[in-house]
Amino acid sequence: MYPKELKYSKDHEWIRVEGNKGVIGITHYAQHQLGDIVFVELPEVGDEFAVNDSFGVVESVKSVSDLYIPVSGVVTKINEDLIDSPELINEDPYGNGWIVEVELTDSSELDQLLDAGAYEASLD
Amino acid sequence: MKWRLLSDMTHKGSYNMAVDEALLQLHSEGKTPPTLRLYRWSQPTVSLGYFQDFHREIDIDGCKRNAVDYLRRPTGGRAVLHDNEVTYSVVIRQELLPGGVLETYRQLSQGLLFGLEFLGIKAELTNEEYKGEISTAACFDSPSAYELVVGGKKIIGSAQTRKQNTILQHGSFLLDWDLDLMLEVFNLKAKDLFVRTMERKATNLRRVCLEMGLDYPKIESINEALIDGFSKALNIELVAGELTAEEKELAQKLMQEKYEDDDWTYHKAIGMGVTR
Repeated sequence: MYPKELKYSKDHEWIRVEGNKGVIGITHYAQHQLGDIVFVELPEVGDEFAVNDSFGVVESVKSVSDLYIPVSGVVTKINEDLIDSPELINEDPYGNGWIVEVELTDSSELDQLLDAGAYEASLD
Repeated sequence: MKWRLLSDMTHKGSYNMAVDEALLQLHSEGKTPPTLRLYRWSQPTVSLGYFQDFHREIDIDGCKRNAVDYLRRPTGGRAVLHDNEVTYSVVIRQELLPGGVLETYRQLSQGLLFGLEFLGIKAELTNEEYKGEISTAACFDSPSAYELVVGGKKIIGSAQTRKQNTILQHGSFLLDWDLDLMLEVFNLKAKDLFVRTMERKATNLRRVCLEMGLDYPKIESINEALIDGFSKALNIELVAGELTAEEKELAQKLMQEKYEDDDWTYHKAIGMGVTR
């Protein structure tokens, strides 16, 4: 449910760090809480966000929810498959349901995030 | 738990939406209690869900011909013609109303269900598996999960947004409808089908009262029933209050800078910058 190699935010986003870049998505718990996702609004490549900014919006069951970025960064890739297939977030939240890739502005922010065990414990 | 009750407000659509968002924002900052608001619309207004394509769904010329206002909601869902209805909104932090989208929908819908019961109307909640067939852009032509139906026909439609760990849910309790006006303002490919679908899938308070031989209630009684319904379902005490000065100020700002701004109204989901 919560892969060990990822870091997690309290707002239920995950990040997979590779070098100075991080791929970001929402957790299994978050997609389950949202229910079937039917629309996704993505940022554009080059957009810059500060930690905890809203970087996207999803609609599920007539609820529109903001997504909050777990680290500061500049968007280097977006998952365009989500525009036609938003359900990928529900089906494969850590794989094909990734949302954006960012170049990290301040890698020390990663220290504030939770590891899988701490995140899972926070859900109880 | 004590909640604030805001009621008896009739305003233009852009202000109504701006107040709902201002309630969300200041409650998320812990400055205000959870709130139930009941309100009405000073002129017929079409509202569109956050992700809907404006020009595809709404006939702007039709709106102008009929003095119907139009706007985009902060919440999801599909198009609604707000006309003869009572609108409710609930604002509460997720920590105070835990659960996923469906679970919170269910809990809040329970308040509406009890409200209808207090009016003498037996309604039901559609269940989680319920997936209405979507045939048009309009919200009332098909119930989805945890919607309020009477005899299988939708009477209250709701939509939600979640920002800063806070839920805003608002919805329309149809008192009556003007299907001819809906035909004028919605872009519909098949007008006959729309009318038939509405007749089959939706209803309103006036119809239900006629069918059940009930006296049509006064607006005060409808408000009262909803207030009692939410109090019972959520086990809360609703205390009549007013908007704070900060809420009023923020609502004015959001009205002018967001809900009356074309960038927001015609916005397509292609990037950020208009949602905050």
